[in-house]
Amino acid sequence: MRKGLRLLFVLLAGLVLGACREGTGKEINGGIAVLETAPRKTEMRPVRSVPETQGVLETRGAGEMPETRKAAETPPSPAAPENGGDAEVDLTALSSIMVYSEIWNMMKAPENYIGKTIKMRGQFVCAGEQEEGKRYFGCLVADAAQCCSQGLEFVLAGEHVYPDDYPALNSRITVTGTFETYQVKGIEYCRIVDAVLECESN
Amino acid sequence: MTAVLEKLLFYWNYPFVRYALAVGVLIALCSSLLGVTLVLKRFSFIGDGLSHVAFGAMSVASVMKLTDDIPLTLGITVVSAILLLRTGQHTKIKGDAAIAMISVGALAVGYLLMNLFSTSANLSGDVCSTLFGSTSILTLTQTEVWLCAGLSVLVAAVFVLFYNKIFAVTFDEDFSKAVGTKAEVYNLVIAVTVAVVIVLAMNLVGSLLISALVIFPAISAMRVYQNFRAVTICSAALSVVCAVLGILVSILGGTPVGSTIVAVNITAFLLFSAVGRWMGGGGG
Repeated sequence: MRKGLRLLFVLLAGLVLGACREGTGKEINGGIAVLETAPRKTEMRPVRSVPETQGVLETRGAGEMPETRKAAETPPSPAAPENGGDAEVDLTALSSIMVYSEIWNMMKAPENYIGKTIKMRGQFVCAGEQEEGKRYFGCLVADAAQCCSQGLEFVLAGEHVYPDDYPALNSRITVTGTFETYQVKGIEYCRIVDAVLECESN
Repeated sequence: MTAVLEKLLFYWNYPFVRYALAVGVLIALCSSLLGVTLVLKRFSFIGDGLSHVAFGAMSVASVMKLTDDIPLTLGITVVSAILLLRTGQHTKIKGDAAIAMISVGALAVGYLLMNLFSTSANLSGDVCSTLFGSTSILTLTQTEVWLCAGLSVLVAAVFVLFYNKIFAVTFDEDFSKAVGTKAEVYNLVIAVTVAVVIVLAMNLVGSLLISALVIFPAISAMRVYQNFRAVTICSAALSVVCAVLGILVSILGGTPVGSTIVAVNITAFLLFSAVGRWMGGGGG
C-alpha cells in the first residue's frame, strides 16, 4: 500500500513539475510556437467579471486595469494554430470556457499580447462617460455558466460615428484588431485597436 | 476522433490548461483518500459544511480586501473542521446537526457580508463562480499552482504516514483508545487535512459540489470492493480519472468545469454499481 502510494507521489510530482514549466521561445509539437515570458513592468489585478449589461459597461469595465499589485505569474499562451487564419490569437477557435480563461490571462499579463492580432467573438456593448462625452465600445464574452463576463474594449480603424457606424447593442460581433495597453490617470487599460468589425445576423 | 486529439494537443499548449490538469489531479487524489474515511465515519456531508464555512471565510477576506484569501480561509476552515470532527462521538450536538448549523450559518453570513460590503462589480457572478467552480481551476496563477501542489502532497503524505492509525480510528475509535492509540490526536489530524482538502477542492468544483468529489469515488469503489485498502486505491484512481475526463470534456465542450467533473463521477458511480451488481458483491 505504502509503496504504491509512494510511487504515485513520484508520478504526480513529475506531473506537477511538467505542468508548471513556463513557455519558451522554441517550437513544440505541431509547429505551434510558445512565446517567451516577458517580465512585467507594472503590477496587475485581473478584472474577473464585468456586470451583465444592457449596453452599458462599468466605466472602463471591459479593459479596466486597476492599480497593480504583483508581478506577472502567468506565462503567455501559444499563438493560434497554422490554420490559415489572420489572427495570432484567435479566440473564435476556442470553446467558451477557454475564451473566458484566455481573456482573463490577457488581462493578467497583457505585455505578452501587445502588438498581436486578436480575433474574438462576443456581445457588443457600449459605455460612456457623460462628462467627457466619450464612448467606449467593447466585446463581451460570458463563461460556461453564463454568470461571469470578460470583455475587451475595441477601437475601430478609421473614423466612425455612433450609432450609425456601429451594430445594435448586445448583437453578436466578431472583432479583429491589434492588442495594446494604454494609461489614463495612472491606470493601465487594455484594448483592441485598428479593429475590424463583423456583425452576425440574429 | 483525430480532430478531438488535435484540439486537445492545441489546448495543452495553454499554460492554464496544464495548471488545471495538474492541480485537478492532485486535488482529486487528496479528496478521494480522505473521502473513504469520511464516508465510513458517517461524515459524508462534512465537505459540504466546511466548504460553506470556507465560502464565508472568503467573503470576510473579500470584505477586508485581502490580496490573498487562502490563509484566512484555510485558518477558519481548519478551526471549524476541528470543532466538527475532533470532538468525536461524545458531543451534545451530534455530527449532522452540527454540520448543518455551521454550514448554513456560514453561507448565509458570507453572502450577507458580500452584499453589504460588496467590492465587486458583479456580485452574483463572483458568488456563482465560487459556488459552482465554473472557471476557477482555469484561472490559477503559478503561485497558486505551487501552493495547491504543496498542500496536496502534504495531505497525501499525512495519509500515507498515518494510514494504519487512520484506519484504526475510522473503524473503531473506542477500541483504538482502549489499545492506547491517541484517537484525539488522529481525529485532529483528520480534521486538519479535511479542511485543507476542502479549501483546495473549492478551486476545482466550487463550494456546492465539493461533497461529490469526496463521496462519489469512495461510494463507487465500495460497490465493487470490500476491504479498506482496495476501496482506497480504487477510489483514488477513479477520482483522478474522473477529474481529468471532466476537465477535458469541459474545455472541449465549453461546459462548467465543476459540474462536468461531478457528472463524470455520477456516470462512474452508475457503472461501478452495475459492475458490482453483476459481480454479486459490493457494500457500503
